[in-house]
Amino acid sequence: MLVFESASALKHRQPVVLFGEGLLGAAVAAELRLRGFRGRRIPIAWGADSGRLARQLKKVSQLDSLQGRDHLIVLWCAGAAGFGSSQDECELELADFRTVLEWTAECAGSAATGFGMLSSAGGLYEGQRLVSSRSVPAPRRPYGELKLREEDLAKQHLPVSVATRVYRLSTVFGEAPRPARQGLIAVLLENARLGRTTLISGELTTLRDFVWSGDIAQWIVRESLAGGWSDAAVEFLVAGKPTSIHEVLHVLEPLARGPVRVQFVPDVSNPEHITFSPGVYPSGWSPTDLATAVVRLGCRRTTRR
Amino acid sequence: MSDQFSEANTVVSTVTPVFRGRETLVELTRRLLSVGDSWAAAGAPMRLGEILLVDDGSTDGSAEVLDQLELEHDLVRVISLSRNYGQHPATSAGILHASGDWIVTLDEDLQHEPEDIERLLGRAVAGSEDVVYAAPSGHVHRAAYRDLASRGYKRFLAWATNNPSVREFNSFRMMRGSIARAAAAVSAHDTFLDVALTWFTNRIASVPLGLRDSRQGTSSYSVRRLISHARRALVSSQTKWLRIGALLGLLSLVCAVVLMVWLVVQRLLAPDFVQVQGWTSTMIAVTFFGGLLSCLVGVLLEYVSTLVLGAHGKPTFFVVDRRRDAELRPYFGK
Repeated sequence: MLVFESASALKHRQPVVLFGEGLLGAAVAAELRLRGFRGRRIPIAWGADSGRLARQLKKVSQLDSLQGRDHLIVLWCAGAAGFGSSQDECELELADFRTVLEWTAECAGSAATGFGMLSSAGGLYEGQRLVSSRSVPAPRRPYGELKLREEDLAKQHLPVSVATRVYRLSTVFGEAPRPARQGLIAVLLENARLGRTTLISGELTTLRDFVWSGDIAQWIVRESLAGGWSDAAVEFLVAGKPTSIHEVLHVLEPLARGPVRVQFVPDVSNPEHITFSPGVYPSGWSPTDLATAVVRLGCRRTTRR
Repeated sequence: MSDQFSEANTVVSTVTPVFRGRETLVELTRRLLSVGDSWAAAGAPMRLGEILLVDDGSTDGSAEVLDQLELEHDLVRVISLSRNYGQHPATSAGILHASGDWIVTLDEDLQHEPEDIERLLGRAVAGSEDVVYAAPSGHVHRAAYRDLASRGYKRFLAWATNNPSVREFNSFRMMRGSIARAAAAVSAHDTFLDVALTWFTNRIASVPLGLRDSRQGTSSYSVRRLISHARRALVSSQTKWLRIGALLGLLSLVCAVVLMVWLVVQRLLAPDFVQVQGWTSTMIAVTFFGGLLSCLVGVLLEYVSTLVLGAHGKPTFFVVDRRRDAELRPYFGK
C-alpha cells in the first residue's frame, strides 16, 4: 500500500491512498510521482486474517498525511486473483476488498472522499463480442464473479457521500514490477530475449482488446485529481479495437530481441473472442495504439537494462 | 422460422473505405442497416455487428456525414485516418478494427449492392470458402472500352504474378474474419491486400453479380494509379522477378566459362586468328569477372528474395476453423 501526498505545500491537502503495486498499481504510482506526489510505502498483510488487515489499516488512518485533509482519494488496484484463479483464491481477495471498503467508509468523515476501483471487463463479458453499454455482464468463471461481486459490494458498503468510480478494463499490458504477474506482451518480449517459448491459452486467431497500462494510469489519476468523481459511474477503459494473437506476434517480432516462439495450449474456454463496441469508452479517452505502446514498452525495457 | 436456426452467434462486419462518399454514404448506411434488420426479422443465424466506415483523408465533406452517421446509429463506427493512404491501406485499417466472424468490404459509391452481401456469405459457407469475390456478370462501366481494359488488365496481372486468383480480385469481397485480419496485419503500405489473402488461403470463389458503376464523375483510378496498382500487385505477389535475376546471373557465369574455354582453345589452335596483342587475355579477364559479378549478384538476389518474403509477412503456416460454417448452411439451404 502506498500513501501519496502532493509535494507542493501550496496545493490543498489531497492524499491518495493506493492499494496494489502490480501492473496497474505501479503505473498509477509512476503517474502520481510525475505529477509531483511523494509516496510512502506501508506494508500490509493481504490474504491473511481480515482482523489483522483491519487493524493495520486503522493505524494508517492515524498517519499525518490523512489528517486535516481537504479531499481523500482511495484507489483499489490490488487483487492477486487472475483469470485462472480458484473460488477459494477469489474469496480471499473478496475478504480483503471488503475490509478496505469498510476502512474507506470510516475514513470518509467530513472531507470529500472518492473511491476508484479497477474491475475486469474481460472477466465480466467473457465470450461476448462488440460489448456495448447495453451488454449484460455474464461471468463464466470465479474471477469474473469476483469482479462483479466487488462492484456490487462497493455500491452497498460505501456511503452515498463517497463518490465511487468503477473502471472496467480489457486486456492490460505494460511492465509490472517483479514479482507481480506480467501481462502477455511483456512475457512474450521477455521470453524472446531469453530464448524461451511462451505458452498461450487460446488460439492464433483469438481476439482480445489490448490496452496499455500507461493510458489507464494517466486517465485514472487525471480524473481523480480533477475532482471528476461527482457521481457513481462505470467507465470502460478499453482500446475499442479487436486484436488477434497473430497480430500481436506480427507487431512484436521486429521489436523483440530474439525470435518470438509460442506454443498454444488447448483451453476450451479461452479461444472465445472478447471485443468492445464503438462508443463504450468515455468521451476524451484516447488509447495509444498497440504498435506504439509496444515500442514504448520495449524502449523502457532496453533503457533499464 | 426463428426456431429452425441456431442463435445469431455469427457476426458480420462491413468495411467501407471513404474518399468521396458525401452523396452516397447515407443511402449506403441505410441499406446496410436494412440488411441487418432483415436478418434479425428472419431469425437468421448471423447478425450485422458493425458498419465500419474508414475516412481515408476525404476532401468532399464526407467527414461531416460520417460523424453524423456515427451519432445516429449504434452500429456505425468511423475510423479516421490521419491522411489519405489509399484504398487498400484504408481497407486494411477497417479490417483490423473489425470483430466479425465474416468481414465484407464494399465501396462507398453504391456500385456494390448491400443486398448482395447475403449471396456472398451463402456461397462462402456452402463451400467452406474463405474468400468470395463479386464477379461482374455484365457491363460494369458505362463505356465498353473500360470493361475490356479492366479484363485485359487483370489477365495481364494474372500472368505476371503467376496467380490465377488475380482475375477474381474485386473490392466487393466476403472474407472469413480470421483470414482477413491476418492478411491485413501483415500488409505493408505497398502490399496488395488480395495478394496477402492468397498467402493464407486458396479457398477462393466468386459469385456473379450485377455490378454497375453509376458514378457521375470520373473514376479515381487514372492510368498512373493503375500502373502503380500493377506494380504493387507484382511486388507483393512473389519474388519471381528476383529469381529470374538470380538465374540470369548464373547463366552469365556459365556463358563466361564457356567463352573463356573457347578463347583459350582458339588461342592455342589458331593463334593468328586474332592479330591484336593481348585481346585474348583481356577478353578472358572481362568475361571471367563479368560472369563472377553476375553470379554473385544472382546469389545476393536469392537472399534478398528470402528477406522480401519474410518482410512481406508471408506465413509459414496459419490455422483456421471452418466448423461453424455448418451452423449457417441450413439458413442458406432454404
